[in-house]
Amino acid sequence: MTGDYIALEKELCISNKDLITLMQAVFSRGMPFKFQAKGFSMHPFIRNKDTLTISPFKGKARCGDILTVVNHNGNGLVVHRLIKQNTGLHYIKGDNSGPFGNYNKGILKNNIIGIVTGIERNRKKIRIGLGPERIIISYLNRFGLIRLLLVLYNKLR
Amino acid sequence: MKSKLDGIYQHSCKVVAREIEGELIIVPIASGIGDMEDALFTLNETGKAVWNKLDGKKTLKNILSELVSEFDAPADEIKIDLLGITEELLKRKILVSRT
Repeated sequence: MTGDYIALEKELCISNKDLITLMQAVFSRGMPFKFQAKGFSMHPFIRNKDTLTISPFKGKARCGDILTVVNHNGNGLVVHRLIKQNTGLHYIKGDNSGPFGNYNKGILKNNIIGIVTGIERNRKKIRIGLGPERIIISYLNRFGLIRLLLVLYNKLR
Repeated sequence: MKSKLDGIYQHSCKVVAREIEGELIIVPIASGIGDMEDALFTLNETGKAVWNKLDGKKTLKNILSELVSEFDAPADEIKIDLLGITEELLKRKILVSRT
């Protein structure tokens, strides 16, 4: 029975469901939670392998906030931008979506568990996409213009 | 003279622990951050068994008696593991003393 009892882990790959479990456990203490993002749906404002700081959701979201949402089964996690809200429903969409794709159906407030309050890339803090410019970004996002602008930018470079 | 087994210990309030797929994962909440990026800890089976008993009420002596009755191993070996785990957890400030 003797041996190494405690292992220090720098990287742990777990399912979305388990990530939600850990996140909510930390949120229950009122603390923010950090983890590494995977995927390209929020490119260029959140890139694959960026470290996100997620603060517990306190009931109010502003247009342009980047929300952490759990699906109704409790086993799917999405981090997307709030582009619209009306009575009881929040509409979120990935910044890298086209005009018609990935437009999520309205999310109930109960499914929102956190808000992105920090982004780090290569150990540097990234502020763009979280400040007042997020409102403009959310409008561009709504019509899929961010992806269009990125395509144009890449062609002109 | 008080022995180490008279000590009472409890989980630090600066960590969050959850069992994920049979493994106990401990996430430090240091400086207000529950931080998976920098470091987190996992406990092996023995560590997990001990962790679950460190409730801030039982002495290590009580915990040792429980472990001896639950596990098919010599009492001396269990005692070494129990003290070893406790020491490791205390060193990393995952566990705090109540005595």
